[in-house]
Amino acid sequence: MLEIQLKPMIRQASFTVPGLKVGQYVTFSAAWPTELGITPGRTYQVMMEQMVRAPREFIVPAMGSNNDYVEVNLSNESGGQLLYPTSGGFLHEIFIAFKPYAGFAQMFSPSDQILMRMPSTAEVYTIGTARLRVLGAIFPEQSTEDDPRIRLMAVYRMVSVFIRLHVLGTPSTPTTAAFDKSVIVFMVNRLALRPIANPTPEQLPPPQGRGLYIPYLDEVTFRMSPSSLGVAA
Amino acid sequence: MVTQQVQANTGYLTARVTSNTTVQNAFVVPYGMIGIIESITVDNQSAALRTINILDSFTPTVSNQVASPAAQNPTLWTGSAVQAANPLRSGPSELGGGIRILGTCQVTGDAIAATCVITIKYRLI
Repeated sequence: MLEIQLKPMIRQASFTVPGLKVGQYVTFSAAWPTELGITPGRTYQVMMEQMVRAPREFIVPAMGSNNDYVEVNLSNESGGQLLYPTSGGFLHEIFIAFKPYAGFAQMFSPSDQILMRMPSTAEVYTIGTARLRVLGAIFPEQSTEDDPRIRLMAVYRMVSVFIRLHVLGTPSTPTTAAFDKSVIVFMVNRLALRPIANPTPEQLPPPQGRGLYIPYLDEVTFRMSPSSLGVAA
Repeated sequence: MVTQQVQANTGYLTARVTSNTTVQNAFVVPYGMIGIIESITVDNQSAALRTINILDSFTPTVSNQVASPAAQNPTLWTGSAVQAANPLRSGPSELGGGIRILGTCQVTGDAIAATCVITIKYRLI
Protein backbone atom coordinates (compact mmCIF):
# COMPACT_ATOMS: atom_id res chain seq x y z
CA MET A 1 0.00 0.00 0.00
CA LEU A 2 1.21 3.50 -0.83
CA GLU A 3 -0.62 6.54 0.45
CA ILE A 4 0.16 10.15 -0.45
CA GLN A 5 -2.09 12.64 1.32
CA LEU A 6 -2.67 16.25 0.40
CA LYS A 7 -2.00 18.74 3.17
CA PRO A 8 -5.08 20.33 4.72
CA MET A 9 -5.54 24.09 4.54
CA ILE A 10 -5.30 24.30 8.34
CA ARG A 11 -2.86 21.92 9.91
CA GLN A 12 -3.26 20.58 13.40
CA ALA A 13 -0.41 21.48 15.74
CA SER A 14 0.66 17.89 16.18
CA PHE A 15 4.14 16.45 15.97
CA THR A 16 3.14 12.84 16.58
CA VAL A 17 3.47 10.44 13.69
CA PRO A 18 0.07 8.74 13.38
CA GLY A 19 1.19 5.13 13.20
CA LEU A 20 -0.74 1.94 13.91
CA LYS A 21 -0.90 0.99 17.59
CA VAL A 22 -0.98 -2.27 19.56
CA GLY A 23 -4.44 -3.82 19.51
CA GLN A 24 -5.53 -2.34 16.19
CA TYR A 25 -6.64 -4.57 13.31
CA VAL A 26 -5.47 -4.62 9.71
CA THR A 27 -6.86 -6.58 6.76
CA PHE A 28 -4.77 -7.24 3.65
CA SER A 29 -6.64 -7.17 0.35
CA ALA A 30 -6.96 -10.37 -1.64
CA ALA A 31 -4.70 -8.88 -4.33
CA TRP A 32 -1.50 -9.31 -2.26
CA PRO A 33 0.84 -12.05 -3.54
CA THR A 34 0.90 -15.23 -1.47
CA GLU A 35 4.63 -15.63 -0.82
CA LEU A 36 5.20 -12.49 1.28
CA GLY A 37 4.72 -13.89 4.78
CA ILE A 38 1.12 -12.69 5.13
CA THR A 39 -2.09 -14.31 3.92
CA PRO A 40 -3.99 -12.27 1.32
CA GLY A 41 -7.47 -11.32 2.48
CA ARG A 42 -6.75 -12.17 6.13
CA THR A 43 -7.25 -9.93 9.16
CA TYR A 44 -4.45 -9.48 11.70
CA GLN A 45 -4.09 -7.78 15.06
CA VAL A 46 -1.08 -5.63 15.94
CA MET A 47 0.68 -7.29 18.90
CA MET A 48 3.83 -5.15 19.17
CA GLU A 49 4.89 -1.85 17.67
CA GLN A 50 8.10 0.16 17.68
CA MET A 51 8.66 3.41 15.80
CA VAL A 52 12.22 3.77 14.50
CA ARG A 53 13.51 6.99 12.95
CA ALA A 54 15.96 6.24 10.14
CA PRO A 55 17.31 9.31 8.34
CA ARG A 56 19.28 8.83 5.12
CA GLU A 57 21.23 11.51 3.25
CA PHE A 58 22.13 11.74 -0.41
CA ILE A 59 24.19 14.44 -2.12
CA VAL A 60 22.51 14.62 -5.50
CA PRO A 61 23.91 16.22 -8.65
CA ALA A 62 21.70 18.68 -10.48
CA MET A 63 19.90 17.10 -13.41
CA GLY A 64 21.70 19.29 -15.94
CA SER A 65 21.85 18.14 -19.52
CA ASN A 66 22.78 14.59 -18.45
CA ASN A 67 19.47 14.08 -16.63
CA ASP A 68 21.32 12.99 -13.50
CA TYR A 69 19.48 11.52 -10.51
CA VAL A 70 20.07 9.33 -7.47
CA GLU A 71 17.93 6.23 -7.03
CA VAL A 72 17.19 4.92 -3.53
CA ASN A 73 15.99 1.33 -3.09
CA LEU A 74 13.95 0.98 0.11
CA SER A 75 13.98 -2.84 0.17
CA ASN A 76 16.37 -5.35 1.74
CA GLU A 77 18.02 -6.15 -1.59
CA SER A 78 21.76 -5.66 -1.94
CA GLY A 79 22.39 -1.92 -1.95
CA GLY A 80 18.95 -1.22 -0.53
CA GLN A 81 18.12 0.79 2.59
CA LEU A 82 17.01 -2.37 4.51
CA LEU A 83 13.66 -0.91 5.55
CA TYR A 84 11.53 -4.02 4.94
CA PRO A 85 10.76 -6.78 7.50
CA THR A 86 13.22 -9.69 7.48
CA SER A 87 10.61 -12.41 8.14
CA GLY A 88 6.93 -13.17 7.69
CA GLY A 89 4.28 -12.04 10.15
CA PHE A 90 5.62 -8.51 10.32
CA LEU A 91 4.43 -5.30 8.72
CA HIS A 92 6.48 -2.13 8.36
CA GLU A 93 4.45 1.04 8.16
CA ILE A 94 7.02 3.40 6.62
CA PHE A 95 6.40 7.14 6.80
CA ILE A 96 8.53 9.06 4.30
CA ALA A 97 9.46 12.69 4.96
CA PHE A 98 11.94 15.10 3.45
CA LYS A 99 14.10 17.94 4.72
CA PRO A 100 14.07 21.01 2.45
CA TYR A 101 16.14 20.74 -0.71
CA ALA A 102 16.02 22.20 -4.19
CA GLY A 103 14.45 19.32 -6.04
CA PHE A 104 11.76 16.66 -6.07
CA ALA A 105 11.27 12.92 -5.94
CA GLN A 106 9.53 10.32 -8.05
CA MET A 107 8.55 6.85 -6.85
CA PHE A 108 8.94 3.62 -8.79
CA SER A 109 8.16 -0.04 -8.22
CA PRO A 110 9.89 -1.97 -9.64
CA SER A 111 12.62 0.38 -10.81
CA ASP A 112 11.26 0.84 -14.33
CA GLN A 113 7.62 1.48 -13.45
CA ILE A 114 6.51 4.88 -12.15
CA LEU A 115 3.87 4.76 -9.43
CA MET A 116 2.16 8.11 -9.97
CA ARG A 117 1.02 8.53 -13.57
CA MET A 118 -1.95 9.37 -15.72
CA PRO A 119 -3.74 6.66 -17.72
CA SER A 120 -2.58 8.00 -21.11
CA THR A 121 0.81 6.67 -22.22
CA ALA A 122 1.62 10.25 -23.26
CA GLU A 123 1.24 11.45 -19.66
CA VAL A 124 3.98 9.53 -17.92
CA TYR A 125 7.12 10.78 -16.14
CA THR A 126 9.83 11.50 -18.71
CA ILE A 127 13.01 13.03 -17.34
CA GLY A 128 13.96 14.71 -20.61
CA THR A 129 10.73 16.70 -20.85
CA ALA A 130 10.27 19.65 -18.48
CA ARG A 131 6.51 19.15 -18.10
CA LEU A 132 6.59 15.39 -17.73
CA ARG A 133 9.52 15.16 -15.34
CA VAL A 134 7.39 16.76 -12.60
CA LEU A 135 4.23 14.77 -13.41
CA GLY A 136 3.31 13.05 -10.15
CA ALA A 137 6.41 14.48 -8.47
CA ILE A 138 6.70 14.77 -4.70
CA PHE A 139 8.25 18.03 -3.53
CA PRO A 140 9.98 18.13 -0.11
CA GLU A 141 7.48 20.53 1.44
CA GLN A 142 4.64 18.09 0.71
CA SER A 143 5.83 15.63 3.37
CA THR A 144 7.91 16.95 6.23
CA GLU A 145 9.14 15.26 9.41
CA ASP A 146 6.58 16.99 11.62
CA ASP A 147 3.81 16.24 9.13
CA PRO A 148 4.65 13.12 7.08
CA ARG A 149 2.20 12.57 4.26
CA ILE A 150 3.60 9.52 2.52
CA ARG A 151 3.00 6.08 3.98
CA LEU A 152 4.22 2.83 2.50
CA MET A 153 3.15 -0.55 3.87
CA ALA A 154 5.94 -3.10 3.40
CA VAL A 155 5.98 -6.81 4.17
CA TYR A 156 8.62 -9.52 3.88
CA ARG A 157 9.98 -9.94 0.34
CA MET A 158 7.63 -7.32 -1.11
CA VAL A 159 8.61 -5.93 -4.49
CA SER A 160 11.23 -3.17 -4.20
CA VAL A 161 10.06 0.43 -4.05
CA PHE A 162 12.45 3.10 -5.32
CA ILE A 163 12.65 6.83 -4.68
CA ARG A 164 14.37 8.74 -7.45
CA LEU A 165 15.85 12.04 -6.26
CA HIS A 166 16.25 14.98 -8.61
CA VAL A 167 17.92 18.31 -7.91
CA LEU A 168 17.05 21.47 -9.81
CA GLY A 169 19.73 23.70 -8.28
CA THR A 170 20.47 25.72 -5.18
CA PRO A 171 19.22 29.26 -5.77
CA SER A 172 20.68 30.80 -2.60
CA THR A 173 24.21 29.71 -3.40
CA PRO A 174 24.71 29.80 -7.15
CA THR A 175 28.27 28.46 -6.99
CA THR A 176 27.03 25.14 -5.60
CA ALA A 177 24.15 24.77 -8.01
CA ALA A 178 25.64 21.52 -9.24
CA PHE A 179 24.69 19.64 -6.05
CA ASP A 180 22.26 19.63 -3.16
CA LYS A 181 21.73 17.33 -0.20
CA SER A 182 18.44 15.46 0.06
CA VAL A 183 17.74 14.08 3.52
CA ILE A 184 14.93 11.54 3.62
CA VAL A 185 13.64 10.82 7.11
CA PHE A 186 12.08 7.37 7.22
CA MET A 187 9.96 6.68 10.26
CA VAL A 188 9.49 2.93 10.32
CA ASN A 189 6.69 1.61 12.52
CA ARG A 190 7.66 -2.04 13.07
CA LEU A 191 4.54 -4.12 13.70
CA ALA A 192 4.24 -7.76 14.78
CA LEU A 193 0.99 -9.31 13.56
CA ARG A 194 -1.22 -12.10 14.91
CA PRO A 195 -3.70 -13.65 12.47
CA ILE A 196 -7.36 -13.55 13.45
CA ALA A 197 -9.16 -16.71 12.27
CA ASN A 198 -12.72 -15.42 12.52
CA PRO A 199 -12.75 -11.63 12.77
CA THR A 200 -15.83 -9.97 14.20
CA PRO A 201 -17.47 -7.21 12.13
CA GLU A 202 -15.91 -4.67 14.48
CA GLN A 203 -12.40 -5.95 13.61
CA LEU A 204 -12.95 -5.65 9.86
CA PRO A 205 -12.27 -2.51 7.82
CA PRO A 206 -15.04 0.01 7.10
CA PRO A 207 -17.93 -0.03 6.47
CA GLN A 208 -18.41 -2.97 8.87
CA GLY A 209 -15.70 -2.19 11.42
CA ARG A 210 -12.81 0.08 12.31
CA GLY A 211 -9.84 -1.97 11.10
CA LEU A 212 -7.43 -0.70 8.46
CA TYR A 213 -7.74 -2.04 4.92
CA ILE A 214 -4.34 -2.48 3.23
CA PRO A 215 -4.59 -2.64 -0.57
CA TYR A 216 -1.70 -3.94 -2.65
CA LEU A 217 0.59 -1.51 -4.46
CA ASP A 218 -0.86 -2.46 -7.84
CA GLU A 219 -4.35 -1.57 -6.66
CA VAL A 220 -3.60 1.94 -5.40
CA THR A 221 -1.59 2.76 -8.51
CA PHE A 222 -4.31 1.58 -10.94
CA ARG A 223 -2.09 -1.14 -12.38
CA MET A 224 -4.66 -3.90 -11.95
CA SER A 225 -7.33 -4.49 -14.55
CA PRO A 226 -10.66 -2.77 -13.81
CA SER A 227 -12.46 -6.13 -13.77
CA SER A 228 -10.18 -7.53 -11.06
CA LEU A 229 -10.95 -4.45 -8.97
CA GLY A 230 -14.69 -5.01 -9.45
CA VAL A 231 -15.07 -1.87 -11.56
CA ALA A 232 -17.87 -2.04 -14.14
CA ALA A 233 -16.89 -1.32 -17.74
CA MET B 1 43.11 27.41 15.30
CA VAL B 2 39.47 26.36 15.34
CA THR B 3 37.03 26.88 18.18
CA GLN B 4 33.37 26.06 18.28
CA GLN B 5 30.57 26.86 20.68
CA VAL B 6 26.80 26.70 20.95
CA GLN B 7 25.00 29.95 21.62
CA ALA B 8 22.65 29.41 24.53
CA ASN B 9 18.92 29.31 23.80
CA THR B 10 19.22 30.27 20.13
CA GLY B 11 19.97 26.96 18.42
CA TYR B 12 22.80 28.68 16.57
CA LEU B 13 26.38 27.50 16.66
CA THR B 14 29.53 29.43 15.96
CA ALA B 15 32.90 28.36 14.63
CA ARG B 16 35.97 30.56 14.79
CA VAL B 17 39.10 30.12 12.72
CA THR B 18 42.09 32.32 11.98
CA SER B 19 43.35 33.12 8.52
CA ASN B 20 45.57 30.39 7.11
CA THR B 21 46.77 29.43 3.65
CA THR B 22 46.04 25.79 4.37
CA VAL B 23 42.44 24.65 4.61
CA GLN B 24 40.90 24.97 8.10
CA ASN B 25 37.86 22.85 8.91
CA ALA B 26 35.39 25.19 10.60
CA PHE B 27 32.66 22.60 11.26
CA VAL B 28 31.40 19.25 10.03
CA VAL B 29 27.70 18.79 9.24
CA PRO B 30 26.43 15.69 11.11
CA TYR B 31 24.89 12.80 9.15
CA GLY B 32 21.30 13.44 8.11
CA MET B 33 21.53 17.20 8.58
CA ILE B 34 22.25 20.31 6.52
CA GLY B 35 24.25 23.30 7.74
CA ILE B 36 22.97 26.82 7.09
CA ILE B 37 25.49 29.66 7.53
CA GLU B 38 23.63 32.70 8.80
CA SER B 39 26.52 35.13 9.05
CA ILE B 40 30.25 35.45 8.45
CA THR B 41 32.41 37.98 10.28
CA VAL B 42 36.01 38.73 9.40
CA ASP B 43 37.79 40.66 12.15
CA ASN B 44 41.13 41.62 10.68
CA GLN B 45 43.50 43.20 13.20
CA SER B 46 46.58 42.84 10.99
CA ALA B 47 47.82 45.74 8.90
CA ALA B 48 47.37 44.09 5.51
CA LEU B 49 44.29 43.35 3.46
CA ARG B 50 43.11 39.76 4.01
CA THR B 51 41.01 37.74 1.53
CA ILE B 52 39.02 34.88 3.00
CA ASN B 53 37.26 32.00 1.21
CA ILE B 54 34.51 29.76 2.61
CA LEU B 55 34.33 26.31 1.00
CA ASP B 56 32.13 23.21 1.29
CA SER B 57 33.87 19.83 1.08
CA PHE B 58 31.77 16.75 0.30
CA THR B 59 31.59 13.64 -1.87
CA PRO B 60 28.39 13.23 -3.92
CA THR B 61 26.29 10.07 -3.88
CA VAL B 62 26.59 7.62 -6.76
CA SER B 63 24.12 8.66 -9.46
CA ASN B 64 22.80 7.13 -12.66
CA GLN B 65 25.45 9.01 -14.64
CA VAL B 66 28.45 8.97 -12.29
CA ALA B 67 29.50 5.64 -10.76
CA SER B 68 32.49 7.02 -8.82
CA PRO B 69 31.86 10.66 -7.95
CA ALA B 70 34.88 12.84 -7.23
CA ALA B 71 35.16 14.81 -4.01
CA GLN B 72 34.01 18.42 -4.36
CA ASN B 73 35.00 21.58 -2.52
CA PRO B 74 33.38 24.57 -4.20
CA THR B 75 34.05 28.09 -2.92
CA LEU B 76 30.80 29.53 -1.62
CA TRP B 77 31.87 32.95 -0.38
CA THR B 78 34.84 35.26 -0.76
CA GLY B 79 35.43 38.44 1.21
CA SER B 80 38.26 40.89 1.79
CA ALA B 81 38.82 42.87 4.94
CA VAL B 82 41.24 45.63 5.80
CA GLN B 83 42.17 46.62 9.32
CA ALA B 84 39.31 48.65 10.64
CA ALA B 85 37.33 49.35 13.75
CA ASN B 86 34.33 47.62 12.22
CA PRO B 87 34.88 44.02 11.08
CA LEU B 88 33.52 42.83 7.72
CA ARG B 89 30.11 41.24 8.36
CA SER B 90 27.85 39.35 5.98
CA GLY B 91 24.45 38.51 7.39
CA PRO B 92 21.53 36.52 6.01
CA SER B 93 20.54 39.22 3.52
CA GLU B 94 24.04 39.43 2.04
CA LEU B 95 24.26 35.61 2.01
CA GLY B 96 21.03 35.21 0.07
CA GLY B 97 19.14 33.90 3.09
CA GLY B 98 21.93 31.59 4.18
CA ILE B 99 24.58 29.37 2.64
CA ARG B 100 23.87 25.63 2.61
CA ILE B 101 26.73 23.42 3.76
CA LEU B 102 26.43 19.79 2.72
CA GLY B 103 29.64 18.30 4.13
CA THR B 104 32.49 20.09 5.90
CA CYS B 105 32.70 23.88 6.04
CA GLN B 106 36.27 24.97 5.34
CA VAL B 107 38.08 28.30 5.44
CA THR B 108 41.19 29.51 3.67
CA GLY B 109 42.96 32.87 3.70
CA ASP B 110 45.61 34.49 1.53
CA ALA B 111 48.10 34.53 4.44
CA ILE B 112 48.70 33.08 7.87
CA ALA B 113 47.47 35.69 10.31
CA ALA B 114 46.52 34.87 13.88
CA THR B 115 45.08 38.36 14.27
CA CYS B 116 42.55 37.83 11.48
CA VAL B 117 39.62 35.96 13.03
CA ILE B 118 36.77 34.54 10.99
CA THR B 119 33.57 33.82 12.90
CA ILE B 120 30.88 31.69 11.23
CA LYS B 121 27.42 31.58 12.75
CA TYR B 122 25.36 28.63 11.56
CA ARG B 123 22.52 26.29 12.39
CA LEU B 124 21.74 22.71 11.57
CA ILE B 125 18.45 21.54 10.07
